[in-house]
Amino acid sequence: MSYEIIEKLKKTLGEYDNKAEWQEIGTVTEVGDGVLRISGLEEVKSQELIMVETEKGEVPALALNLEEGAIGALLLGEDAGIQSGFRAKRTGQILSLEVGEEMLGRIVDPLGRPMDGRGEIFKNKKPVRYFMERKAPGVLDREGVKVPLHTGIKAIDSMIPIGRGQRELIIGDRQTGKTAIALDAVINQKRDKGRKLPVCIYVAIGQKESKVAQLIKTLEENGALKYSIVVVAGAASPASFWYLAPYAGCAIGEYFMDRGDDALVIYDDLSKHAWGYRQISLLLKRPPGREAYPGDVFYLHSRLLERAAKLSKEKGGGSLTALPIIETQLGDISAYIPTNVISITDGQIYLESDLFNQGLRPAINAGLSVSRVGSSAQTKAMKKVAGKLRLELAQFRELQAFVQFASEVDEATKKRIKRGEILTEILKQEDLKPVPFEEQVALAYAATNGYCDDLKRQEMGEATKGLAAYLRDIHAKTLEKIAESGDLAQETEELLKEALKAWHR
Amino acid sequence: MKIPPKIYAKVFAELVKDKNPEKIEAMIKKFSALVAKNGDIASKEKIAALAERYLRETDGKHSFLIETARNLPEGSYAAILEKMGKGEYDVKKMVDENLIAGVKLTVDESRELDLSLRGILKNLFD
Repeated sequence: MSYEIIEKLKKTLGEYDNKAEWQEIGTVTEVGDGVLRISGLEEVKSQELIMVETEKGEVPALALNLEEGAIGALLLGEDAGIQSGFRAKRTGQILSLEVGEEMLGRIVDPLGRPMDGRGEIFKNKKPVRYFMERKAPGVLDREGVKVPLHTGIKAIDSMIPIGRGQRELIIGDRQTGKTAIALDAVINQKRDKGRKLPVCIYVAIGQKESKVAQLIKTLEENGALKYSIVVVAGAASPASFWYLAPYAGCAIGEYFMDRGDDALVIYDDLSKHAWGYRQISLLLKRPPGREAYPGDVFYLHSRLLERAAKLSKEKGGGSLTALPIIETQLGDISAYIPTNVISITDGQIYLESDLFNQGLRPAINAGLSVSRVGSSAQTKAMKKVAGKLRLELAQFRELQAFVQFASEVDEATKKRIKRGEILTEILKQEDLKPVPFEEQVALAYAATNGYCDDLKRQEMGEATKGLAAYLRDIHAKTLEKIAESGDLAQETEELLKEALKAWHR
Repeated sequence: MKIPPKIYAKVFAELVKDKNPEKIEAMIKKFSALVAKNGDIASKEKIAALAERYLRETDGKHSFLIETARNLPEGSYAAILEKMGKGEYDVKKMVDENLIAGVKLTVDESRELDLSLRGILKNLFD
């Protein structure tokens, strides 16, 4: 083994070309709270990597504020051991990270370094480097969002459908099930046959390490980790990592999109991302605006989310779907950051604490939730049943006041209220149990065509489970036909009707 | 209002330029008293370093720091200076054993040429 080491050293030394060049240097004048002020380095570029020489080695920093005679830089490592008077050198490189297929199944930090203790990520091939900040695809490079991204959640896939290349915001108070929805979406991808398996990237920003560890365990147990990548900037990470993590996740997703693959990136959550950016901006003495956020906090999120796209066939046909998460305080969706992100995204899934506490889980407020892509991102089969479902639920919501006061109502209204209650029960779903879209179509068909009308409300939960199991076990071929064709053709509809009649008896 | 060290340094450099040595001493005393009065005495080292730099730039000189791993004979320093070509240099010498061998040159605290063995090893294994 020592022979191999010697030979490797000889080869490295033989290939080494010692071209010493004049390098631009600066001096650290101030350091503290993860931010440096460096004098000199007059030719440095914005977002360029700077290396600070310390006794323990070099520490990277990111040039953010380019002022006359000095630079404000963000430390990308520990600031312990950095003193005023230390030298800083330019690297000439804009911040980027290594990306590649080898990242699948790995846990990395925002600089692309492994955190899972499984050693180097890129052992064999030299990896590609992608810039953290990249220009979003232009209008001509895109095409319309038409391919569905099934989350496995009945309420979402039927009424708030998400397409590949869309940005759909998940917004709600703490502990309302936002991360659970994102997790179900990731787990469901392996069950969604007939479409390419997308690479899933989960970006944890400011999350508790225990929560992230639990999430990774859940992904692993459900066989989803092998097509996922987790980027972690935990609660104990410096604000610079909170700031960079979403851009790192996006860059990884863009690598797969540019290859013609589909990717899904979840930013959990962008509220903490905005807090981190506010902290950095205040330390860099940038002028504070509303709620002490810097003036470009909208641009912080718009330039990130615009990079999600469905590329045209000429550009490879790949897609990057974004599911940003925003945490509201006391249900206030009219606050600064939530309204910013709502105006950027192509729709939102609004989760309410009241609905959660009432037992309606997922606690989706269908009235305030919307998908601006709509039925373009649904299969033909789902389109046929979802329209009726949405309409009947909307009618039920209008009539809910009567239900509360138990007033005398006519038969038609009673039927509508009953139908609405049945649909509400059908749309309830347990955590980590995504439902394949063909089953969702069958369930929605059963509910909207009266096959469940004579069931009592308290029986619905068990009845739904029973119906799903019955269709899976006895009429799997019918479900397969729906899954393969994506349509509810007349022949398939007849088969489904027969199956439902037999179950109803 | 807090006055930046850069402004103090520029003013001082302008004041002492082309003055008699007797007048400069009196000027330095008055200048120090003014800085203290403004409450900026904590920045005195920064002001001094910047003033030195401005005075040097006014004279068309460059600061030149030669760092070596051990003390060299005078002839070696002269040879290095000759390689720098035209220009007036305000030379400072420093010994840093961490360089292991070779030499590191810094001009105007803004450009560096690392010809030390430590630098070569660092580039080799990075």
